[in-house]
Amino acid sequence: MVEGQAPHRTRIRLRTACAVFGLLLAGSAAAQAPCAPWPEDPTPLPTVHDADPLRARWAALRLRELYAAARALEARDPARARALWQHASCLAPADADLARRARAVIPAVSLHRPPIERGGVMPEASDAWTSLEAPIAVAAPAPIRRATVRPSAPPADAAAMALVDETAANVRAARFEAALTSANRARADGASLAPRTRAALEVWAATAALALGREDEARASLGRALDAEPNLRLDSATSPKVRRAFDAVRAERRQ
Amino acid sequence: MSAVRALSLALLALACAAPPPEPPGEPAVVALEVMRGLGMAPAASEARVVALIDATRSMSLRDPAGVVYLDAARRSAQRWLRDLPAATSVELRSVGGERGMHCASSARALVAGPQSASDVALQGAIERLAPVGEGSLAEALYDVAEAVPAAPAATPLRVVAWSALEDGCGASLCSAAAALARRGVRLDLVVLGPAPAPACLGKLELPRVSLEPARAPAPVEFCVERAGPDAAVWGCSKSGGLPVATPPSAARVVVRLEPPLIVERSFPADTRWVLEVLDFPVLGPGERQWRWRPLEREAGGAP
Repeated sequence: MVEGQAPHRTRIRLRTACAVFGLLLAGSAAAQAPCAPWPEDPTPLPTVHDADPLRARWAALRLRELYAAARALEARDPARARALWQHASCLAPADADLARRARAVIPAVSLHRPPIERGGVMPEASDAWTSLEAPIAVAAPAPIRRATVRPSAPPADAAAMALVDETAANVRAARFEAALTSANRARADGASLAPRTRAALEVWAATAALALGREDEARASLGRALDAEPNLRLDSATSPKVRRAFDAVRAERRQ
Repeated sequence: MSAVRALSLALLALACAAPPPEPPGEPAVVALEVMRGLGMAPAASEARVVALIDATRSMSLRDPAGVVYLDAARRSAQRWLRDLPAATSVELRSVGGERGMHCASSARALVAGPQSASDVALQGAIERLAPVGEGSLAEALYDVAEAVPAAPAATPLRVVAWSALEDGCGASLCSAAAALARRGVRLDLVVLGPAPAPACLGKLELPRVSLEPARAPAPVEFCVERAGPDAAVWGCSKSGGLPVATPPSAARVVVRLEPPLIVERSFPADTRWVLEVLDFPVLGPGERQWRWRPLEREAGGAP
């Protein structure tokens, strides 16, 4: 039984706290039982449901500490945060949320494909790491004209042209699935499109398909581009991967 | 005179009526057991970061809108630096970026040693980058991985790379990222343009790390004193685990916590006691509790 509670005039000593925290973070990768007590923990490791009220209280308080520390670490160092969740889960084995956090899989690689836009003002991001995904504004010189993008007479249907533009915008913004969808719709509505524009549409579609790893689909698009414009030449800004696929398709046709 | 005699007789009678004094018993023994918190607070230090910018010739390619990939990488990296906490330690390197560099060339340090994210030298070095020469992003990532100790460091490392993934040097990006992951290093890959990233990158996971304090915190000292105004220290335990013998009388136990815990109690002779203390000062006032637990004397054992 708890006999007394001492009044507290707690002064949190940040230096001490950080030093202890540093000790914690300097942890070893040595294998250990998942619920082995840490050196300063009571042995055996109590849980929040311990029959001894003092040990149960210790587990509850340690759980609060671990929870706060893991939350603080999660964004910056998820692997260590997960280890803290694991220890917390040992103190409260019935807590499903803790168990889920302790088992979480942490991807080692984060891929970012920020859209590239024209403009002098960079969009704001909430922090450095989310900024990697945010649009990049570049005050670039006038775009290199892709010879295949400009439609020749007769004037094309406005809706189909809008879909071609949408496909191009989707590829630029790395929305590849959306690019393929808009390309399909443009094909369906694009009977009036000029051959050069149809070829440009197919090059955008091939770019999207290659980005998604759909090589057959990309080759089919490039074949349609050559159908529309047998003398099609890609401009120098075209990705080498698209160019290689295009050269391969054209070589096959010549055989 | 008669009064003096009467008083003497009374004192004599009183003395004869009192029980004989007991022989002094074995001293009581007091031990301490502190169940402490870790005193955890969010660590002040930020992660260390290695920033790698692909400045090979392939980065002179333009996206469909006509933007040169290196320009996009430059703007993204500069914004990222500005948004980082100023104290973050950043190493800035480029793959390529110099005439004569080739696929086997090591990544080039753009600024000597790690710098704080707010250092203007980093922004300037990025601005001066030019897309020339060749280089392998994968090899540059291997170099970073090899410099990381196998055991996770107290300050985690994170790598950010900007690339159009068109370097053409052929080394395996997946193997390089896996080498980083094995050492607990996360990779943020910013892909500029439509080049597909290897699917295997999405399957890499960070390994589990075991955490525990590298060593136990310093033991808590406690002293046992005579209770009352004329306090005298009977004994102290500096090592925390060793018990202190105390005469069988009212005693005061002073535990050197922050703030100190002072508990008074009388200990019968020849008994053993553990003062169990729960101490979590960081969690706020009131998060300290204590109790006395009697210990059975071991058969034939001395305290």
